[in-house]
Amino acid sequence: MNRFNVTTKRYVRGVSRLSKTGLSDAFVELADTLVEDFDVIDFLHLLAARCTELLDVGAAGLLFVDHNGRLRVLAASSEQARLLELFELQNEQGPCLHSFRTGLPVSVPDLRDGTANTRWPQFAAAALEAGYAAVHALPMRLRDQVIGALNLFDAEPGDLAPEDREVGQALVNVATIGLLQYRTTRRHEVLAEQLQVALHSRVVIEQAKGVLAERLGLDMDRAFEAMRRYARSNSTPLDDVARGVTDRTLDLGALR
Amino acid sequence: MNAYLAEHRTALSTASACAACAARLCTDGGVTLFDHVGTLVNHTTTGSLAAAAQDLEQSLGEGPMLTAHRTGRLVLLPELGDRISRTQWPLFTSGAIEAGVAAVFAFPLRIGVIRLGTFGLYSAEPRMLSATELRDATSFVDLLIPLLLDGRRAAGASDLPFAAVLDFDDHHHAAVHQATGMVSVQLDVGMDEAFVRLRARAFTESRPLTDVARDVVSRRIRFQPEPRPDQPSAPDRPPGRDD
Repeated sequence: MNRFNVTTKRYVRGVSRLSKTGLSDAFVELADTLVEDFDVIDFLHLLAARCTELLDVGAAGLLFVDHNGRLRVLAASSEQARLLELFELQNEQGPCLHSFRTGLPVSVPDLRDGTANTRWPQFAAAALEAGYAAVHALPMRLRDQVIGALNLFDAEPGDLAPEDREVGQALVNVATIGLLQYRTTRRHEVLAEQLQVALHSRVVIEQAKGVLAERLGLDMDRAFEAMRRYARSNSTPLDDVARGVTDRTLDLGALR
Repeated sequence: MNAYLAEHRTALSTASACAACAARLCTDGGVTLFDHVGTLVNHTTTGSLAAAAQDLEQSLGEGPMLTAHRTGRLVLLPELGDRISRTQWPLFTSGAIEAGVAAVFAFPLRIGVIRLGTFGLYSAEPRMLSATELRDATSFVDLLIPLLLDGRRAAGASDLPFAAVLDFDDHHHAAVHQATGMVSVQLDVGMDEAFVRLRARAFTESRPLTDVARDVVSRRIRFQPEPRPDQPSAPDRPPGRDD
């Protein structure tokens, strides 16, 4: 079968599959996960699965860059080790890494031809051995930020039909927004926890000032100074000193 | 928001954000922050209605702001004194109406599962917030949250984290915690009990909690330990529910 036939076949299959229902269902499904109790792993697996169906590819994986700059698979349409290794390999080389770095889609319609072998020899060999003939990558990107990429593998060679590529990019964009939102919420949650702890320690410090004011006959400023002095000369955090004052475990004489 | 800040020549802070929103919606406003064990740490208010209402809630231990914080849900009371408010918060409602509050809108400040506190709006007239006003209020809440979180990087005494955010400058609210500490020594009780006693005194004397606290801190009043059961009760005995 020559390449033209393969491409047409995929194209025709693609168009008929992109019924309004299928696509909007997928979007509704994804949008549903963008709510408060957001389970990011669930969301990503859903996305990977939908990609294989809607884009008619054999396998899909969502890769993200972690804080060390390494691409990590967060979800894939299959847990097959071979597939996962293929993703992993791309930390060194491959279309996915390239897509992530450039922020552009990358396509290898036929791994058997010379180009893939030249650019990414280890990757091309491994992918072919795993039974794949085509690979595509779509960047996960929001304006300037590229946070990862969607990696697609297919046993049949051929380009992604233009419609498929558009749909794929749209699904990926939804995923990107959801993930950035999740990351921001997580970061905010961590900060919020810290804020709450700080708020609590503030209460304890004020209460401790009151205790010292009453016990040692100091005004509030002097009471605070006494605690700070003690904290410094004993290399103890101020929080701990305050707590020691309020729960009576600290000898107040030491604070005079 | 920026227009307000420029006009009032003030930096963005909890207090100014609160003031900006209140000005825009023609209400009084207040932000209340709680720590992770549920202690009311601080509140910042714009306007006397907000100050009175928030003090009432803290004194009574009931009210729409506390409910919003506990449940994590909006509480919208366009007409304070209606059946709902009187049933849910009987003491707060009568006290707030007496103070001139006619409508209350309480927005919880949440980040994921963490509940930091509430943002409240208080009106002297009964009124419902329009869709636009509700949206404006929600935007202010969205603005407040990163503002609060950013407080970690505030300049100033590094011994006191989030110092810039907590608006303790007026000392009003710090006084409540300081007084709690003092009363705990005067009565030889724990902090929780000391706070209950402070509250009881405010209730008995029909005075704002912060006033009583300030009196304690300035040593105008002291708390005496309870007499033994065979002696007559002291004047600062906490009122029973049926008083």
